[in-house]
Amino acid sequence: MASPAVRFQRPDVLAWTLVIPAMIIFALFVLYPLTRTVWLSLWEWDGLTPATWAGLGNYPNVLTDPKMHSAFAHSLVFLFFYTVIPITIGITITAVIMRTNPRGQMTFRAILFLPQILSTVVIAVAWRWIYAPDGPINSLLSAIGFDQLTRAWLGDFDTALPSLGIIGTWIVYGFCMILFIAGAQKIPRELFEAARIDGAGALAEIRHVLLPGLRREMTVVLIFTITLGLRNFDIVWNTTQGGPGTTTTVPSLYIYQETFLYRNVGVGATISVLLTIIILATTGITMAVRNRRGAS
Amino acid sequence: MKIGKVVIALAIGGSLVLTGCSSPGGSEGEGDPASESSAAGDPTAEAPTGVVLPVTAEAIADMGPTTLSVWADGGEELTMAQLIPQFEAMYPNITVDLTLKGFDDLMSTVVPALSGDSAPDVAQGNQGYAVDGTLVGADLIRPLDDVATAYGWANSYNVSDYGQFSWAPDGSSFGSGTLYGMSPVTEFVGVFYNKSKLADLGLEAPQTFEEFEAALAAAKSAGELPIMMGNSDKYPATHVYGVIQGAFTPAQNTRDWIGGSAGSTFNDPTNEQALNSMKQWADEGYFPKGFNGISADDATAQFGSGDGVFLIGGTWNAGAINKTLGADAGFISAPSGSSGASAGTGSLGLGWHVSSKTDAEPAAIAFVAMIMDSANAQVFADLNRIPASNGTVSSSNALFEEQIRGAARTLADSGQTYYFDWATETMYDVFTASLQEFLDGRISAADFMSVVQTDWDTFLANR
Repeated sequence: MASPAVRFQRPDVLAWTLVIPAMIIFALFVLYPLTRTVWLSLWEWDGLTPATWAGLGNYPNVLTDPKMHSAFAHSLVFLFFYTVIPITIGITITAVIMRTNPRGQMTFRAILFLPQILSTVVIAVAWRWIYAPDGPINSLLSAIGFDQLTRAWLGDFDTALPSLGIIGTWIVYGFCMILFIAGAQKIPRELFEAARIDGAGALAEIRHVLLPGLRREMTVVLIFTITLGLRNFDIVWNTTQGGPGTTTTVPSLYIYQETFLYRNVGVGATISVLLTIIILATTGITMAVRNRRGAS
Repeated sequence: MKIGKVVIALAIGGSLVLTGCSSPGGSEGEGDPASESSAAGDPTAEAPTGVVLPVTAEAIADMGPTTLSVWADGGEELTMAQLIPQFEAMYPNITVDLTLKGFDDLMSTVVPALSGDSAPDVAQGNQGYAVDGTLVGADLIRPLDDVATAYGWANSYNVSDYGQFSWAPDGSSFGSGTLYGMSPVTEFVGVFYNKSKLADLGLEAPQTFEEFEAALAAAKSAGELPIMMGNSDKYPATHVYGVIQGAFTPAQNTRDWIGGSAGSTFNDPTNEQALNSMKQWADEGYFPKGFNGISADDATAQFGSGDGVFLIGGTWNAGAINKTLGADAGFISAPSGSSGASAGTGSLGLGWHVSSKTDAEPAAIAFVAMIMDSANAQVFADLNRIPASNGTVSSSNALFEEQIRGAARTLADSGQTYYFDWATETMYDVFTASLQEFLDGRISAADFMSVVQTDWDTFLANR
């Protein structure tokens, strides 16, 4: 497609009229808070009395705090549960559906998408019950004879973090699956048939037909799940509050604590900025790696 | 497209300009302009205004039609429903505008609200640095020494209870100083017990710590769960510890440490004994398996359905336990140690404060005075709130009667040791998380005390 000659073009008035309200809302609710947070991170402020200038002083304090290191490390664990596992599950289910084309798909998809529309507080309360010492998981384990495996999944220092991770996987995999199935249905059937004729097994079909055809959906899913995993707050806050001990702390927990409970608004803002940078960097790197690898 | 980029640049630039030049909390209107001079704290407490105390009916009538804005914790819903009509009947020109907030919500919003332009005239705060300390330091609430004297609160309340509401004027320490708030009720941690289970063990309600431990051992041997506890919310274990610790450490020492008294320390053999005692209970299986995965509400519910002989919890659980266990529910205040004093976690209720910026000062003071009036103690008792005043109240509810008796015992012994998280702004997190680690055997008692004391030292050094 030839690019238009570089010259001043008459602005498309209709397009701008439609876009400008959205841009105003975007500026007010995203750009303004974002720049204000960066600004606040340069101060020491208790939210009430006049602030003291800190310059970049908050940043080294946060970056060298061992509590923050564990929090970010826990975020990476959540990343695994929010991204890698749900995407794998989503792709697998999509591949199975494309091969077998079962009936009742719409109902099945609606049910699997349900976690997305539930409030995270509701999800947290429900899963607290599921993981409870006398909850269904332990009952099941006892029933099949694995009594020694039962425990308080959210109260045990070793299992709390992965248990929370699994909640995340449950929330997200439906979303991944919906997008992948919708995307897979746009892939020409002939490609699947050609692959089958060439003797491709299920894995090869995924690798050579499904994944390349789902490039756009995968981009959306990656951005969504990475962001969700790294900024996780509701699930942690409504289940363990960072406990037991400090095994499930996450950066957003400290943002809330520092800003609203300890009244260190500057520190809270600093953690927010760092978290934003990490989320942008993670998504950026992921996109860059994909662009280098993939040939459309 | 060029225009597109220009617009985007303008949007970003605009936001930067909006945020860029204002210093947070400065005269741009963010913070209270009156506090600009008090960045380091005003060394002199705000002088009382000219209102004559006790406030007369004429003074209030002279105010004309006025709205009195009151912020209260959700737990006050029923008491306010009784007392506000009473107040409005006494002073017909005053309309009370009540805002009720859940506890967490109130804690995060009351400070900004009192510093804002339409600050409530009367508001409940919370003892400790996070709320009351901040309010005092920013001069947002009115000192109440003159009100306490004029209304004779010392006749009805134990003056030693003022400590938790008394602050150095810059909010740097509490425990003594100027009185900034007061509460007519007390809420404290005691021991609920299942009467029929205890009877089955052939035991009576334990009054001393020795008797309590004997009862726990007996319960365990009989195959019962000795103590129901759910610690996923992280604070319940600290309340259990508070009751155990009260049997070992003199209550005044604990109060002094929490209030930031110079030279006091948490690194104390008595605290260590209490910690080891609790760890022993955990190791012997006196608590439910996996208690860090059970929520406080679930633990209360399970106790109510017959799981556990004892539940160490706050008096605020009485409503739920009364509904489930009914006549089977009993309550005793903290079992006493060798000193004979019943001491444990607890305090007066959330303090009532008068805003320093109120335009309705006479009405605000009269409102707080009405709440504190010991003549209204029965109103609270009828709603199963435990009055802290020294009069007698009666109740038709057996469990509540036991709570009143328990309160009388521990208040007479000056045994309320506040709450550990009052000690510093970060203590809630440090104490709760470290206690979970200690009970799981991940850190030693010495480590625990050291972490807690370090937090205390750091906090006070910076004030």
